[in-house]
Amino acid sequence: MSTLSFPLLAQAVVSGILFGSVYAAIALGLGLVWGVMRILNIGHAALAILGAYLSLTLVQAGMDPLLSLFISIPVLFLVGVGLQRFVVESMQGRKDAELHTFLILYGIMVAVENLQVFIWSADVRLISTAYSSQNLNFLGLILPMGRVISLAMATAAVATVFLFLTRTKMGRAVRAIASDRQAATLMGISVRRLSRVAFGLGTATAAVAGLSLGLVSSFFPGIQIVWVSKAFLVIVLGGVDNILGLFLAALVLGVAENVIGVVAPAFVVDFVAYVLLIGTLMVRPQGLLRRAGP
Amino acid sequence: MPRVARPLGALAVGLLIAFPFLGAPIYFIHLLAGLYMNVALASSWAILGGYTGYLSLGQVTFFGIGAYTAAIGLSVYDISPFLTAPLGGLFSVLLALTIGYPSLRLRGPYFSVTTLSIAFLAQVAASNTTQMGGGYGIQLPSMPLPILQTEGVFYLVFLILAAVVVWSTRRMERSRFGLALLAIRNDEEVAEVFGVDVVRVKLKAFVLSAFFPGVVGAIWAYQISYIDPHSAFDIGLSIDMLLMAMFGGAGRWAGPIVGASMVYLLSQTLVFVIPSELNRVLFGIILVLVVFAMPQGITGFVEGLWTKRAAQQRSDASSSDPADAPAASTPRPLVQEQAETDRRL
Repeated sequence: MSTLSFPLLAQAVVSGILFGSVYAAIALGLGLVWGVMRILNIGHAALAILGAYLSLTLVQAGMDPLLSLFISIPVLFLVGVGLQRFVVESMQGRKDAELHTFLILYGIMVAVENLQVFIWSADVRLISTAYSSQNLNFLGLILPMGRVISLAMATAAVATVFLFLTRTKMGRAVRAIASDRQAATLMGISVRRLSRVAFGLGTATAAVAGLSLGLVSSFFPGIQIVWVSKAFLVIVLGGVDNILGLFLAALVLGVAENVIGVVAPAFVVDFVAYVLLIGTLMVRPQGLLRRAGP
Repeated sequence: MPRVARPLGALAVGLLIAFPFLGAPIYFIHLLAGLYMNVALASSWAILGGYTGYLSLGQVTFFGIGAYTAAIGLSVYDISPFLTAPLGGLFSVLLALTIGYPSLRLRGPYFSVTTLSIAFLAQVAASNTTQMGGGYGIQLPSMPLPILQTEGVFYLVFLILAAVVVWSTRRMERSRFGLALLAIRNDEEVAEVFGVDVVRVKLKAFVLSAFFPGVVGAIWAYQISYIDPHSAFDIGLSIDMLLMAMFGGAGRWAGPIVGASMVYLLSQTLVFVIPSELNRVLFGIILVLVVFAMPQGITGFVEGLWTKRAAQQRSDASSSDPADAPAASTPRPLVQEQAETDRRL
């Protein structure tokens, strides 16, 4: 705890934005899958951590972190397609499809997390590179290089998905599915194929999220449940169908946490985040930025 | 049949009660006590999760509240956990009443994530409250008895607790209240239209399913004699409750008994064979497979086989008498299968 001075506050705001961009990257895929398929992939952050471990392994083998994405993105894309193909699609038509899908994803989350413990151990890791220890000096503020890269990646991921959804034909079709599945089928959209693409894209962003997470903060397999609830908080705050709102909410959360962290003990940050999540869910489950809805 | 079954049942119960005093190795007494604890927890999870389909991932919160009630009661006020256990249940009920009303309005994954966050919140709160020992936890003095008798006492208490929870679930299942819960799982709106006070019924189930973990947690704290926020509010325990109930068949009183027995004994055996993280990987996979292949759990699966066989036998028997075959035998299995799908979680 320390007194609040201006440079300290500015530093907190800046690192809050850096941290918030990671929240955005994780919430992005979770929100995409939720928005299109109406499925809460509770294992999403476990997959992001998997992406972080893949990158970590490749970086340790001497690869540049950014290049490692060329491997981790396709891998996680396929995982997502597989989840849609073998889990979601086989549950469709069941009476309790939503419940059963959630349970299966929950089981997968438990399995993936503990498989990570088995392969990479439960030790705390951090992805570090030659330049991650360098600092960027910006107007007297110190910006660690790793975090700047992480911010750039996360922002690029959000922008890519945003442009995909708004500027491409396929992306528009995905949005059509999100807004009305049946009508989309009638318009000749291949719902099945595009749902696989959407789920794949959602988990592919987890690869980017995982790397930016690994560059910004330390991680271990069990931490995933904290990240998934934070990502969920971002979605709840920013609204599901609104990627820009989501990005904004993530930045606000990151800044709020870091600013609170300056003036209060660390646990207050978590406390505030969870109270915010529970409170928002109970009062406005449809999200803060959405005007109305079910 | 009952003439034979009754004395046999009484004998079995007698054996269960007398088990720790028959010179069994202490390891097995401890093992079975743990089993009863898990049966009690899985059954109480199923009161809400199994019958209404509201999957709580935060039942460990109530377990932790019970544990801390007992720990503080014993270490500060010197009151035996056996006396404070109901108080742990009471505190759990109070919390369930507070959070239940707003959170039970949320459906599906929203409810699950809310309850999960509440468990996190409780853990963070316990870690940072000095009266609760903070991150260091609380050490409880152990029972002033020889170890074998201590274990025997815990064995009996957990046995009684498990029996009470299972008995309550069984009674509930056959009551109006139980039917109301099933109606909510089938279709909440329809249930409401048909006069089920949905809000009250859900809250009642939530409160019941919070009370028992509170009591169990208190006894557990005494048994383990040292608690900290990570063990008392272990998210993994919430996972176990769900897994055991689902595995055995949540929505049937016998389900959690079967599920808890198999999962718990399997995990206790596997500990000797494979590393514990692989153990958990395996249980994650088992959960996936169960939902895929036996969504009603083992008991539901067996019951399904049983009704199918019975239907088969009936149609075999009636095929020799073609006159009443279409009238008497064909509709029955249809009706039963319908009832079967209705019970699905």
